[in-house]
Amino acid sequence: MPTVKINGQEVVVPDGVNMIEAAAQLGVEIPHYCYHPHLSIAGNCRMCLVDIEAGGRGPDIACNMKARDGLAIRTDTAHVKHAQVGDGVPAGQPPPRLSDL
Amino acid sequence: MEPRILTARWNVPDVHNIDTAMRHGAWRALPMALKRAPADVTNEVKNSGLRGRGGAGFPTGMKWTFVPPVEKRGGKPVYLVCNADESEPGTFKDRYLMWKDPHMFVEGCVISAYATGAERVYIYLRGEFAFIQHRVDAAIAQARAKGFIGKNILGSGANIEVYTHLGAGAYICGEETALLSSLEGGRGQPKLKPPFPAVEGAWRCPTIVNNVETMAAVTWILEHGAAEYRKFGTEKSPGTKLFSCSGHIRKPGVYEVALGYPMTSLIENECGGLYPGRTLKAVIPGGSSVPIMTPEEVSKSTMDYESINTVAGSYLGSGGLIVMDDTTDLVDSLTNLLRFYAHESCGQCTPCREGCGWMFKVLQRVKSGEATDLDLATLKDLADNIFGRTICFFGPSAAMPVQSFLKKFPDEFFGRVHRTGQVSYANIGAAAPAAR
Amino acid sequence: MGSHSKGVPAPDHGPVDWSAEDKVKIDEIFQRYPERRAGLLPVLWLAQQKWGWLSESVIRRVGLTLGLPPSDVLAVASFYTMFKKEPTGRYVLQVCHTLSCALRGADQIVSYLEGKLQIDPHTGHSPDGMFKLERVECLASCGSAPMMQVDEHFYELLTPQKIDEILDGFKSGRPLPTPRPEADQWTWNRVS
Repeated sequence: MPTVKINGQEVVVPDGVNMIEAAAQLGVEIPHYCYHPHLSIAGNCRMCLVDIEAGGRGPDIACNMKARDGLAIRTDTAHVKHAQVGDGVPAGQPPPRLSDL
Repeated sequence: MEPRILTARWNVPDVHNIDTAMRHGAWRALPMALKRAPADVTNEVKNSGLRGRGGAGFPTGMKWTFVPPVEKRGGKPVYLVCNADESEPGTFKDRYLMWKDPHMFVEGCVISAYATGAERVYIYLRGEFAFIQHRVDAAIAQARAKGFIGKNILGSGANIEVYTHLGAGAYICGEETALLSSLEGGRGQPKLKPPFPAVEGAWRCPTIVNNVETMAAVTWILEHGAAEYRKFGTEKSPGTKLFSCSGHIRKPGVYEVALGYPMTSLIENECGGLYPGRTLKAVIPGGSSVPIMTPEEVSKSTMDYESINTVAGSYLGSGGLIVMDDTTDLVDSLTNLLRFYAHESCGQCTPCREGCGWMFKVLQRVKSGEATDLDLATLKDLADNIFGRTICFFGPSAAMPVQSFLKKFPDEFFGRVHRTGQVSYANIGAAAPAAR
Repeated sequence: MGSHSKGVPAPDHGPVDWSAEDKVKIDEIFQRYPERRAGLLPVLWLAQQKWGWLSESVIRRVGLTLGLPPSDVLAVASFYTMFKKEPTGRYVLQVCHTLSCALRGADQIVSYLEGKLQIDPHTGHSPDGMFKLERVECLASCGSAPMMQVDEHFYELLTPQKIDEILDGFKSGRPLPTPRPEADQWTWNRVS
């Protein structure tokens, strides 16, 4: 059960989870588009890019990032926000839920 | 005088035929290599300091050591793939290497397969090289007839088969994971790394991908030794390299020089210099994907992996030197390149798929005089937003020309747009959000 | 696939199949790889050489040969520029117009060919349909620019006069011999 840090806050997560799932445990939403827990990792929308504070080199996509001891990421930096907004793709917004439509 | 390591036999007529080639020294290195342990062959290449000649310049011997040892492979075979997909604009040295002296690089493939434990070699040629594939296939068949390829080569116990595989027109297939996707019978779409091909590559097996020129250099290194190779070049960039020189020079072509050779000498001596009455405006040193250089940077650079980076923030890359004189419209040139990148993007990931096409459209408007300086801020922001955000290196390859042309030749661009007064090169980064 | 315009059905070959010799070649292709799917590109090349272009029927036949759904075969074929998804004239003149060729006059070569062959800007074809003009990206001939590729062959160091000779060769049914001597010329003044 690795311990990871998200935006300075530590959390213990189950083995094998990716950082989108780890962040969700803390109530931190990392926007994503091509990731789905039932599908293999495509990694091509690039919406879930996060900065890596420790334990790796970033920015990198959270969906393909396995939680491991010593990993610390940031989702709240201007850099990450800019990466998500990049190219005018409206990121930073959660995808619409069926109940919204 | 040009050193003659890779181009040694290019003046010999008919040297693509094995008997002529062998009379001039071909297929001597393989028997020598087979008498040594594979790890010993790898060490020789490591000690030579040979760096990948496709563009990335990664130490070749070191890459070979990333293949997991037999006990950790789970019974999977190792594959060697030779990247003959040469498509980087400005680069044409592999084409001549394969056409003039196919035996040199084919021999290198067999040696490298032996060193890495591969039993199958796939030479992936770009689709447009069908006429070269015929010649390489003939060379392979001739080598097989002499017992250099196939089962129990020269009684060594090594089994190595070599095949060619033809692409069908896609620059991105030069990226190693895209090449493997294409080899496997798919769209040439790069894959996420890690895992790296040396661990999990073609058909999920350990795979080493090496460039044609790298393979040819391996042959020479195994015949003459690492120490002899290191007599050429510099300490961090040993050996020689083929430079494909094009653009506004009197003698475009492929030239072999020792690494460390001054760029100005290459342009003025080997390339015959500029046309009479013209002055140098800019040079792209390593294929279109690397940052452009100013004449001052050119005068201070030598052709090796370190100098170009330190002096100009650029890269040796594939060694495709594109020389532009004062008649060149740099806006036109950059637009031309971004048309290439927009066309060739595989389309998987958003920053590249959207960004390349968008940058091309902005540049078209700059070229036709319909843009403002705010558009230049958008252009820079787009390029900056691709770097580091993509699945593969194609994104940066499209971004670096835009960033470097804007940074080093801002007047060419600012002089072509309507000035709102809100943007100059000094504040172009800050202006970007407002431009959106 | 093909062009559907105003109710005109897309051209197609109708059902096609391999000959006995083709099947021997295809088996040899499959032997080269650990998985059958890797034979897809080589088989697509064989299909294009045999039937001229990859119509829906040809795609279906390749799908059966590989054991892949036709949509999968088409997904792969459509990725690559050299696989033809539409019929063309006999000679497709692919002129490189990437930077190094552009710096040495590729645009003038394109204009010359457009004028000489009266190329229709919509179809890219000459009026008699024999020639198609395409602008393509870098063909690794930057040192022998400007140039073009026709079928497998490179025609380099082009001038209007050379182009005239090449076109006359095609039109007369006696194309110039290939590979061209320029293919051996790796630098401006050195021929083997």
